[in-house]
Amino acid sequence: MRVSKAPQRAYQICSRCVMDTSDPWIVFDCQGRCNHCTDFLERRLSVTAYSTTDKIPSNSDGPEHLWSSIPRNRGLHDVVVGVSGGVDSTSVALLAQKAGLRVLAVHLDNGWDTPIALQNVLQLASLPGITYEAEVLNWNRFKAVQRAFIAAGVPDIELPTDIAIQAALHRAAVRHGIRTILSGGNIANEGILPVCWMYNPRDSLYAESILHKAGLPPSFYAPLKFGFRQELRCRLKHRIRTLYPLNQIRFSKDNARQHLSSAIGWQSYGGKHCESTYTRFCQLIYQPRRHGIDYRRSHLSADICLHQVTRSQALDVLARPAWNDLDVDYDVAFVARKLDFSADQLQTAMASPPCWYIDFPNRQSLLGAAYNSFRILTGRRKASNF
Amino acid sequence: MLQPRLIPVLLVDGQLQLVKTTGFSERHYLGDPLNAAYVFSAFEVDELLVLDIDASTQGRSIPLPFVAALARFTSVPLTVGGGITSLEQIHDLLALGVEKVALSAVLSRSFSFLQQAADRFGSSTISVIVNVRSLGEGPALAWFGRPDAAGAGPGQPLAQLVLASQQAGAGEVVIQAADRDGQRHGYPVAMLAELNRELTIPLVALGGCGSHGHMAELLQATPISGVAAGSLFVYAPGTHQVLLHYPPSHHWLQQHLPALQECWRCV
Repeated sequence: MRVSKAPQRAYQICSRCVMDTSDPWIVFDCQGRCNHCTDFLERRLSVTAYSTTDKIPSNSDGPEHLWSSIPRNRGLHDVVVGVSGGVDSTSVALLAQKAGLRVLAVHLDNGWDTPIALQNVLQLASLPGITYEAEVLNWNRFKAVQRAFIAAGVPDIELPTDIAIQAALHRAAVRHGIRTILSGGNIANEGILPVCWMYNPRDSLYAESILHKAGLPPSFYAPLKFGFRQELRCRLKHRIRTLYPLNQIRFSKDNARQHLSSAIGWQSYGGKHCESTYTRFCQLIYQPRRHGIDYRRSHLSADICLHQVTRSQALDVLARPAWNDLDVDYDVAFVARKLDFSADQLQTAMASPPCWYIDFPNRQSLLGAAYNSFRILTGRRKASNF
Repeated sequence: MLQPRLIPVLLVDGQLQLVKTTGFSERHYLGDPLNAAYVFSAFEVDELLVLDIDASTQGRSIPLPFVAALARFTSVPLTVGGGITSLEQIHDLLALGVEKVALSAVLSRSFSFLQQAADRFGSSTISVIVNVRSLGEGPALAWFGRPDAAGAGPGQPLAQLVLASQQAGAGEVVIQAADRDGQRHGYPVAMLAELNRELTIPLVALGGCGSHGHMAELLQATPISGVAAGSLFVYAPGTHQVLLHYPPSHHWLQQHLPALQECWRCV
C-alpha cells in the first residue's frame, strides 16, 4: 500500500474560521489564525464587490460596467456560459441574458447529470436569447479516467470533470468565434479551498501521471485536456478571456436560489454542487471518508469571513456528518455500478489510506511561475490558488 | 378511461452506449444509458423502452447485468428488448424485475415463438415490435427485425402481420415507422389510426415524433395506448443537442385529455 508523503500533524483548527488540519499543509499564525481565511480577507476579497461599500448591484441586476466591456460579436453569440443546472452557472447565464447578451449555454454531460439539474438547464435553455449546446463525453472512456483517480487515492476525483468543462467551453468559443467566457466561479463562495483538496486541473502532467499509473494511455485524457499551453493559445491566438461576473456583485447563494426559482422555476437540489451525482458522492461521502475532508468546511469558512454565519453556527453544522441526509448505501451502489466496481470494492477504496497530489509527478512550481508571470504581464492580481 | 402512455425509448449499441439513430443507420452518441434511465425514472415517465439495437446482428441478447442495473436503479415500468430468442432469456429478464420484454427479429425466423412465450409468461409481459415502411401509394410493408437485415425478405402487409401477432398472444404491438426514425416530422397518423381501429390489443406508436404537437396530432386521431419517442425526449426542443427531458404529466396530458376524449368519441 502506497504511503503518502503528506505531513502527519496533531489536530488544530483555526481560531477565526473552521479550517483545520484536514488540510495537512495548513499554516497557523501566532494567534491561531490560518492561512486560508487570512489570504481570503487580505487578498482575495479585494477583487470582489465585497471589498467596497459603494452602492453595489444586487443579485438581480448585472454589473453594468462588466457587460459594457464585452465586445458584441459579429456571429450569433456574444458570450459562452457553461451551464450545469447549479445555482452559480444559472445565475451568470441569466444575468448575461438580462443584460441583452446573446448567450451560448454549453452543458458538459459527463454521465452524472441529476434529473433536477437537467430540468434547470431546460428552463434556462428555453429562454429567448439563449442558445443551448451539449458536449457529451464518451462515457466508457471517461469512466476509465474516473476509475483511475479513485485508484490513485487522491481527493480531487472531480478534476477530470472540472478541466473537461474548461476544454469544452473554450472549444465552443473557438468554434463560434466568441471571445468571452462567463464563469460562475466566485470568490465569495469558493475563495477558500485548500490546494491539496482540489489540485490545479491545468497541470496535465499530474492527470496524465494518474492515468499512467492505472495503465491508461494519454489518449484517454486528450478530450478533457486543457493545460497551460492550450490556455495560452486560447488567450493569445483566439483572444478568448474569462470573466467572473459573480465577483462583481454581492453574490449570495441563498438570495440567488430564491431569485432563480421565482424567475425561471429553477429547483434547488439541496446541498452545494449536487447538480451531479458524482459531485455529491465526492464531497459528501468519498472525501469525508477517505481523506477526512469536509467541503462544507471551506464554504462555511468563507461564510464566516463574510459574516453570513457565526463560527459556532458553522461548528454546529460540521458536527453532523456530511452524508447525514443521503441514502449512502444507495448512492454508493449507484456510483459503484456506474464505474464497474462492486459496492465492496468502492467501500474498500474509501477505507484505504489517502494520497495527495504531491505523491504524483506534477509541475506545481513551474506552472506557478508561469501563471505568476502571466499575471504580471496582464496586470492582474492573484486571487486564486494557482 | 384511456390514459395514453408517453414512452421514452433508449437505444443502446454493442458497447452499451446510448445512441439515437436516424433511418436505422446513422448513429448519434448520447452518453451513458444507465444514467439516462435513472434520470427518466426520476422524471416519473409512464414507461421506459430500452432496446439493444446490435444484439440481434451480433447473435446475443441484451446483456443481463445491464438490465439488472436498469431494474435496480429505476422505479418505472421497464420494457427491454434486443436479440431475445429463447424462453430462458425471457425468464431471466423478467426475474430481474422488468415488466415486459420486446420481441422482434426472432419472430421473422420463428413466429411460433411468440405463442410459446405468451403461453408461458402471459401476454401482458410480451411486447412485439413491428418495423414498418410505407413506400409510395402501396400498402405499408412490415417486418419483424430490421427491414435491411440479411434475409429480411420483401416485407408483409402491415395489418396482416399485426393481426397475426395479436392472435398469437402478443400483449401489445409497437409499430415503429422505420422510414421516419429520427426524422421528427410526425407519426404516420392515418396508418396508425386505421390499425388501431382493427386491433383489440394496445398499440404503441414509435418513429417520427419531433414535438408534443405530433403526439397531440396522433392522439386526436385515435385513442392509442402508447406514444413512444426517441428524439423528442433526448434532445433539447427543436435542436440536436442532448438534453433529457419529459413533460410533467399534470402539465401536458392532463391538460389535453378532455379535448382528446372529445375527439375519440367522434372517431
